[in-house]
Amino acid sequence: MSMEDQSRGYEPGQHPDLPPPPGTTGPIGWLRKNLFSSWLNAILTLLSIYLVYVVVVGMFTWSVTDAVVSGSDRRLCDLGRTSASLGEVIERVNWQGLTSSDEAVQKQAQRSLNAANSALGDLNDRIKASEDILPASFAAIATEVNPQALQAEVKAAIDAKDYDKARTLLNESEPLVVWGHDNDGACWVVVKERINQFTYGFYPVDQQWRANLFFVMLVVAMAPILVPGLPYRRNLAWFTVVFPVIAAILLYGMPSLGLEKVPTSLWGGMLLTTIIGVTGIVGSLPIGILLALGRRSNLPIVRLLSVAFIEAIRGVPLITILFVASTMLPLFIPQELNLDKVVRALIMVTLFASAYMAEVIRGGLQAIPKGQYEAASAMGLGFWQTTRLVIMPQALRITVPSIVNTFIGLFKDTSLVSIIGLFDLLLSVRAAVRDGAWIGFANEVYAFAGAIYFIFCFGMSRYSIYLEKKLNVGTRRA
Amino acid sequence: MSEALDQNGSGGRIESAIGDEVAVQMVAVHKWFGQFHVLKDINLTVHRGERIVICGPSGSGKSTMIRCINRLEEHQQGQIVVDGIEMSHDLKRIEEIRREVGMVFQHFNLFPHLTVLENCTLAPIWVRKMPKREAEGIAMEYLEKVKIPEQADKFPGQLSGGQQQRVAIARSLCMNPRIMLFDEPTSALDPEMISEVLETMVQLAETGMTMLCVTHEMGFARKVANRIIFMDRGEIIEQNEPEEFFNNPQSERTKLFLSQILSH
Repeated sequence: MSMEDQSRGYEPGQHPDLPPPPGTTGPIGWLRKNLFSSWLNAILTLLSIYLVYVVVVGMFTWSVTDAVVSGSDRRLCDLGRTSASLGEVIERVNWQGLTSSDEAVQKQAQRSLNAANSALGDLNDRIKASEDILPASFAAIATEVNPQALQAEVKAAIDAKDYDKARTLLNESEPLVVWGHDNDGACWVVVKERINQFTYGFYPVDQQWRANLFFVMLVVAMAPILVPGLPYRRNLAWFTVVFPVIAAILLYGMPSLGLEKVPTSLWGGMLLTTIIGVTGIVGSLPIGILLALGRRSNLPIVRLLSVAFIEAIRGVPLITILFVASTMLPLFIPQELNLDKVVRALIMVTLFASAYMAEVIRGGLQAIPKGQYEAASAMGLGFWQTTRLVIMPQALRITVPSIVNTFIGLFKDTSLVSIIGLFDLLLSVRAAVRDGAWIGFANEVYAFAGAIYFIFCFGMSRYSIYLEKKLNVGTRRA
Repeated sequence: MSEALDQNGSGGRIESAIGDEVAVQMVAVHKWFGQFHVLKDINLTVHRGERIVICGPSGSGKSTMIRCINRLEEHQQGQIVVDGIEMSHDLKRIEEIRREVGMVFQHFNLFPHLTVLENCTLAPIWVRKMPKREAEGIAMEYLEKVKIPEQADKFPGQLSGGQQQRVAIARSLCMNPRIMLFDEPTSALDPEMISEVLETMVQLAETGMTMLCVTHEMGFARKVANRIIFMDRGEIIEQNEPEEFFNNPQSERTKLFLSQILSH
């Protein structure tokens, strides 16, 4: 027996399971291993935490703490911003320069002081304009500070060249500035006022219940697809099948049913974005599957057509395809056959997404071992049975992340239809930016649109993760 | 290997009646992979109830030959008749043949997305149009025969290699085939698991199933086979009863092969 054998102190096969060394497992072990494994790592960790903190706090302050939501126009938002900017202008006043012997410096300093005074004047104008909606918090301060009188006094002090007094007086406006800083964040009033257009576009207000009903039915129609354990799933699936027809009639109208016609040119906002996105998603998957099968087919014609279609579509940007569909196509096809602009966009977006989907699914098909086809064939399953029962379920499972990736890309690409003049969410938002009444509030509306897109896309992403986890239970490669 | 078999199996050689009915007939079959001539003038008649073991060095065309029987490979010349149906390009006929011929693969080829039970019921339900209940009943029967009924609701990925291969055998049997093809069923298994699969195959042989097995398990061959076929370079070099084949090989090539395979 050698030295090592003796040092174990155990008979062969009797060695007990020992606990791992302390500090290598559990939360502490995780932190040590992942975040603080070295000095550099620790510094980077702290720096990152700081950066995240700054960004999160900044976003939260802008969008929640300092945001303005009351009122139905921009006056309160302007009041907040003007009050806040008053502080900045006062801070910029060059008090030393006012008494400088250098004339140029003195002139410049005086200009900065006058700017402060006129900023106070601007604020007074804003206050006057907002008299009927002044919030209590501001009114109290306004009574106390009395900016109207203050401005006159400052003016007098400046005229008398009593700069110390002017400085003291200007500093009295401090409470206004503080209030301003608490109210110069996002002006959600613009979103509040425009939400109808963001949601429905120009869909007539008295008909918007139809759009609302559409949204509700859409959720019901998607439920059996998305929720596997749903009760009455099979019955609901029938509704899903007929839903596109119902939705088309509901939204477009059918006078014989008492639904007045709403031309698609009036559709817009989230309604239109949802319609295009959902149609593209639902349509591109089956077409993509067929194209992928076609591309792998042994029939040369089928294969050639599939390859040609996929490569042609993939080789051209979606914008180009949409342009062709909206402007050139009407030149080639007879007037009677002219399709509705929205329908054309739906078709083009769907076909575009199908080409990508086809390649994603082809990737999945290629990952299926030949043995799976052989086993299915050997049991007497035909091509379509093999594809449907054996190959596709596995191929789709492998490609869930890529499929959802394509869906997400497609959903965001729907914003391109704004280029051919469809009034989707993005264009309805841009209309608000360009509206003279709301100039200067682009951040808010774009942030809103961004949030909507994010909710949809993040939702899809989470669903894909859920699906992957569900599908992977006990299905390691056999 | 024969030790393992003796422990598990019933001991002596299996004898059974071989009918006059022809199960598989191959006449002057040739096949090429591109320029490569894989099968050269294969003539083989298998009677119902016969158990044939096919051996030979790798690349000799053993697998290709049995894969021609259910048309996983297409032969280019000659005639193959399976269960009275002549093989042709007609898909209907091919599927008809495949319904009667079960196959077990080296790599099991279970469907990983389906449970063991679903693997077994898939073909009966979709090909034989059997009601689900009935198919499940039959599947459970066969899963019991291969001694893994308790795994019915698991997925293939959760089973050991030996268990998977037994499921694959049960899956084929669920179609109630008249002929079974085995393509190196134990080659991908750990030594500890080979015996459980062989035992299942011996059981199957005892039921009088017509079997064609490509395998290197000579213990199995000795015990189960009525006839052993030795192939090399696409040709059937020699075929004989096991005793004769092992004790009195005719060709030099067979002798060399046997000396290599039996030397350890």
